[in-house]
Amino acid sequence: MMIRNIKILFLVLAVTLMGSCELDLLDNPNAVTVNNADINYILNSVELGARNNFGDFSGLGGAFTRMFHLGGAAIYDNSSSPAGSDGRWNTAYAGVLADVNALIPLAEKGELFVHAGIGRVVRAMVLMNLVDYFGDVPYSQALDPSNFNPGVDKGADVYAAALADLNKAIENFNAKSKGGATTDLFYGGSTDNWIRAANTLKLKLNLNLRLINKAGATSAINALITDNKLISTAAQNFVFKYGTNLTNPDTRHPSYAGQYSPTGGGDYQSNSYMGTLHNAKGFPDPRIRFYFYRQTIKNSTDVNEIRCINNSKPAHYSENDVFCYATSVGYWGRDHLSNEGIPPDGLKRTAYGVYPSGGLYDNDAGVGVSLGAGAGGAGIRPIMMRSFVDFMLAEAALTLGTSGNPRDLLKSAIEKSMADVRSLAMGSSEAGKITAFESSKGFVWADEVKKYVDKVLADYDAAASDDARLNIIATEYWIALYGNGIEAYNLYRRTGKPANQQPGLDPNVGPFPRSIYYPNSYIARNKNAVQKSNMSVQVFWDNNPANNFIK
Amino acid sequence: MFNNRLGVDLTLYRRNTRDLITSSPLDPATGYTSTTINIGQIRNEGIEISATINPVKTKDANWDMTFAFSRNTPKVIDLGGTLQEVQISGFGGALGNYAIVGKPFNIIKGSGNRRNDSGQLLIDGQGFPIATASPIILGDPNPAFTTSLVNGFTYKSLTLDFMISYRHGGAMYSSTAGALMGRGLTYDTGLEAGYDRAQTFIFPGVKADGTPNDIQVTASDVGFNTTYFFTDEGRIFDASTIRLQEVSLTYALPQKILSKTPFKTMSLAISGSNLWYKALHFPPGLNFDTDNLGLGVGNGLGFEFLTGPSARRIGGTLKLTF
Repeated sequence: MMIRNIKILFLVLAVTLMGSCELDLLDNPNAVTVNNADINYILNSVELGARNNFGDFSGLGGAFTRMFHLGGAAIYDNSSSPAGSDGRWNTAYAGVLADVNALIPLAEKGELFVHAGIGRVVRAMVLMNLVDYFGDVPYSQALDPSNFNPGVDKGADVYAAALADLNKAIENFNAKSKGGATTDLFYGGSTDNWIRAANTLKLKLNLNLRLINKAGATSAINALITDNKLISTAAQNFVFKYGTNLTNPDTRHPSYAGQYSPTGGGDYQSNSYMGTLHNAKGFPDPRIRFYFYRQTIKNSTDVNEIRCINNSKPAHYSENDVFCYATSVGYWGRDHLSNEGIPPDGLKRTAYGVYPSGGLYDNDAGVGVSLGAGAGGAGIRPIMMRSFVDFMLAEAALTLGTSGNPRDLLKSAIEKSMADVRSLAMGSSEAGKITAFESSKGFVWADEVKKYVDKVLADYDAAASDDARLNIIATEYWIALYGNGIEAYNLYRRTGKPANQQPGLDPNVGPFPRSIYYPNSYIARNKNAVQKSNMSVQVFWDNNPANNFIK
Repeated sequence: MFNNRLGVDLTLYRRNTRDLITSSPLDPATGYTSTTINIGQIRNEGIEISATINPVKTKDANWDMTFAFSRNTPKVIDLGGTLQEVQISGFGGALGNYAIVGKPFNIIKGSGNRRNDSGQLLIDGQGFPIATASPIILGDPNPAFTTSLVNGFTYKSLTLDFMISYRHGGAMYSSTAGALMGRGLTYDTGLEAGYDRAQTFIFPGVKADGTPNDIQVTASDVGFNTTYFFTDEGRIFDASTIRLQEVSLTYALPQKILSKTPFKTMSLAISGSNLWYKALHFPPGLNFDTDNLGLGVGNGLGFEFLTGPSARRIGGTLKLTF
């Protein structure tokens, strides 16, 4: 009897153990599988991935174009190493694109078309960033676990896939969905806003294509204008909004998190960008106090904290190029391609301001940054703003003759940029400080903006050629883009503007990067991958002259 | 041999390790970052010799010597499929130990200086060497060989033992060297070592136009702004080290004294370990110990990150048996 019982026990045990061994070997039993994942969490991951992808690419493009400071390298060839792009590649492919590919079939099966549409917009955005920075990239053979060595697709084909995604996304947003995307981090699930975001990305895409397909770009952009579904109000701005939470999770803007600490430090600002904002119009740009926070409002005379004050301006700098200090009132940044070490200036160098990083408003306080100071990091990633739309339309109107008057578009673009910068700041905890400072100085915001716009338009009217006019539009676009290096990089390669950028400190910085090196993780692990010989390889839509078109 | 006065032990080996179950990294463009797969082949080849000699053996005195030599060269034969390179440990695609097909296992790669075809440094407009964009091979952290010599002398009740070891070659990345030399904190960059910080320096190399470099830079630029902080190459040293590993002196009390006590034997010893060492190719002012490793448990080799100094231990032992 006893033995019989034991036998049964063994049988039961064996059956249970065998049953529990029925695992799909391709699924990690410790991780959530696609089938039991919550679609809203996947969407969440897709959207956070979109934010990260934007951040991965924006900083570098901004630094190339002097919007941010390009440091850590004395020559362009060292400014973006293959290993430095591993993270960009990983986030884009193994992060966002893999998630989108998981999301779309689930969403379509459940007829959750808003989810599917968002996934497609994000995928289009990521694909464009990959092509704009790397050139030809794997796509049609990528994201396939049975192919460890995906080959590349032509940039034009990847762009076509992105455009198809955007069109299909708009179709999704217009379809009758079983449920909305209530957890959407960008627009709270508003399909109208998402359609506008998709159309605005189409505008960006076609504007890049204008160099190689003028007629196609013109008709496509005109169609978008007629359709009248572009981002045009502040609520439609395609931005990722950060919070003020310090840990678990840290929801602060990364630029803020890297700088607003007891020891300060973080990124240097670009001297030439600060110089342009402060000096170019003869009076400071109204946005300068929102963009930058000066930790000290005087120029230092201590060579141990800023060594360039003892150096003479390099011989290859022109009279108009700023060097070392762009102003006399403490805007403390670095020159292009400065490879200097870090002196004890963490609480002296000019910091990110309240826009778009959620830092401090510059009210001439001249005290160091600290943890939680200013707006606490509640900034934004300005992926597509309504002002950008008008700048792009102005460029298109001027270069392609699309509908609209470039001068009017330039005016509305600047006004929208001013309004959005100010409204972010006035909606933050810095509002009281701004009001107090402005009334103490007798600043009236509307007058400041008008003075600025009048000056730009007067310059525009005085410009003698379309090239000069384009330079004004592009320069103002570049100024409004602060926080978005991706469009600044595209703009610079597309138009060569803003012209006369500050040269690198070294007389021989090498050719300007028209694309960046492929990542090490791709080159070393994929047998079909071929590294480019240098970074002057141009992306498919860039048919501008090869050498010295931009520097 | 010779009445057991001489013994030699020789081992020659070649060990192939293949088809390990490994987490192999994938191109993220596949949508995945790694896969678990049986891949690769690593070959260890080496020689080990140990010799024992007993040159003196009398009633009162004895001298024992043991000499050991070992050399091991681990080589990566195959990483499976098309993979040519894997980082074993280190910092995301940059400085670290790598497995590269055809190279010694754990080879160190990191940022280096750009050179022209004839090996001269390329110098930028400020007079500084130009770094490479991608990590280059900086050295093989596996020592060429290690040896040790153990001596034991006994004379009547006194015993003296000591062990000397020597490690030849093997690259080492040292943050201590970088941090101290970069800031000029040791006597190696002081006047007593013939290094005048008030003078200017010219890096040997060629400028962008191919002419020899003639741009003067300051001492702090040499240390802090270029050599020791801007590339990993400046922090790589040959880790050959000679070391007095262990010394002990033991006195065993004679039996006639012990006969009146409850003890059977009684001995008194003083011993010291790691008493003296010299890293032959490190700046002497660092007094650097190449046994200090910074990557902890794992396969990493040849890295030191401002690790605390190694300990020298001196102790006494009283041994009693009943």
